[in-house]
Amino acid sequence: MDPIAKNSSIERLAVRLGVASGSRQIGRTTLVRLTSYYAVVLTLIAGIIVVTDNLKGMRTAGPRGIAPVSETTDPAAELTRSFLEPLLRTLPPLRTGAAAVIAAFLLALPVAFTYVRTRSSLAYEQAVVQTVIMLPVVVTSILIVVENSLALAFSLAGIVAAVRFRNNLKDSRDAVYIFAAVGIGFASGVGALAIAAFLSTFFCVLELLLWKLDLAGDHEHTFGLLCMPANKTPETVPLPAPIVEPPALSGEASAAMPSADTGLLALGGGTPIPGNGKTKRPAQRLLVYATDPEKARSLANAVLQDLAKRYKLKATRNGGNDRYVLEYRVRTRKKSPAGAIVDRLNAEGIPYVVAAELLTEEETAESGKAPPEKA
Amino acid sequence: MDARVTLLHYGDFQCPHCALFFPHLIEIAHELRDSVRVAFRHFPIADVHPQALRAAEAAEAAASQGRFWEMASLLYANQERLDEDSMVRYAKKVNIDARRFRKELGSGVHAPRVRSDYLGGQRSGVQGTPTMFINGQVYTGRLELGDVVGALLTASRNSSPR
Repeated sequence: MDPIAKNSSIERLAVRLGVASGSRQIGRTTLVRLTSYYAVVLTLIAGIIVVTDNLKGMRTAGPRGIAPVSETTDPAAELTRSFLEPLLRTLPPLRTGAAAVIAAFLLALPVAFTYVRTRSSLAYEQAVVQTVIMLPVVVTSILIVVENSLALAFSLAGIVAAVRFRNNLKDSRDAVYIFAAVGIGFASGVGALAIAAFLSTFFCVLELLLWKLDLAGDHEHTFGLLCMPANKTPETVPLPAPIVEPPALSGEASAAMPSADTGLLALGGGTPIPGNGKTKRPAQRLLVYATDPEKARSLANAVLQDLAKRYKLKATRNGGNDRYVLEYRVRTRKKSPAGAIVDRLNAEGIPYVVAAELLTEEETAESGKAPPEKA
Repeated sequence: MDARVTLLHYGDFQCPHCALFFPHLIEIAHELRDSVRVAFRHFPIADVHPQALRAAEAAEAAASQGRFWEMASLLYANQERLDEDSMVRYAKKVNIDARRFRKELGSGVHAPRVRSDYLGGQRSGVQGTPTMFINGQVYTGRLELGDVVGALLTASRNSSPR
């Protein structure tokens, strides 16, 4: 069969997902949308900067710019003066303040967009997206309130210190988005909209690039690139050889085919070790996979006491991820099938014994070798 | 079927990451059925996920009636309800003989198969779920459809006759 035609479905799906070239594709839609958005928003912000002279006067607004109301006997004007004027006086410089808040919000949106684009479904967190959008608005507002007041700044610090933020981020890179949001908020809050716009744009471009290039994603490649002489290709570090059984067919029952290594296992009733009774039965290796090594050991000892002729705990290994492997050397009794030990351990061991298996010495020796290639 | 690429997936029915990835696995199994062989292996982390072992047996019981993928989809979609009655309800939903299903689940006839999958995973160096092997090499990339398909594409190109 033609290899291209054979691979066509992978190629097609890869093209559809934008991974056809083997590397990540940002995608034309993403680029067009981001560019158009920035074109509009940056024009708008440039307009705001021109109109407000980069929010000049925001920090030194002094008495909030309400035009003095002339003396009048008009009751409506009187009402405005007595109610609205004091109210308006307490507000921040409305024009520049509102412009800063809106600008912060607009500049945060593409950052949130970039987050959505670059995160996988597993690493994605809705909370981060919403935080990235809202944080600049909040930070800008706070800075407008604090203005140049040292007392207010200290009060704010006190309040922030009193609130404990114990939110664990799934991905440490999410923190960078939070910092970017704070940065945009800060820049907008102090009236430096140009810096906020630059930060937002540069951050998005950089983040998309890092994601696309998957920088330092492959340790071997990066190591070779940075730490090996230029004329030498990096030595490939072999992965721990996995034992891969021939799998069940796609779309069919996974039980359609027994695992290739089932033959090695004395599971499901177990097969007695062959022997004519005259020759000395070979010692076997019992592996007990456990969550609690101490409890599993006392359980295994009790079972072995009953069913094994002789046994000895050879080693207790930490298999990683809170899994332990107890390794016993066992000589079974003539009348006890080897599988009976495994069966009892499996039945009585829950929840401390996750699984157990019994290997003959030959299998033990074989297990040290690389697994044979399976079709 | 003459698939050149084999995707072996180790999963746990109470693992939230597996549940998120499972629709992608189904999509790969369905869309790439002519070129990728997808196999599911059980790796129930019983001490953290107390119902995962029973759920794996339930999936195998459904598998014995030819409804593994349908049952697995339901189990992943209802991770918070994996008690026996619920699983029997799912069995009825996927149109399998519920009496046989309940009997097999009660007798634990599929436990050895699940255990054998687990042991196979242990030997292959599986430490958590989901773990995947593509043509025997452990997949270390992100659990995103695009990334996995990219790895499958690379594996397929590498295994092409030159």
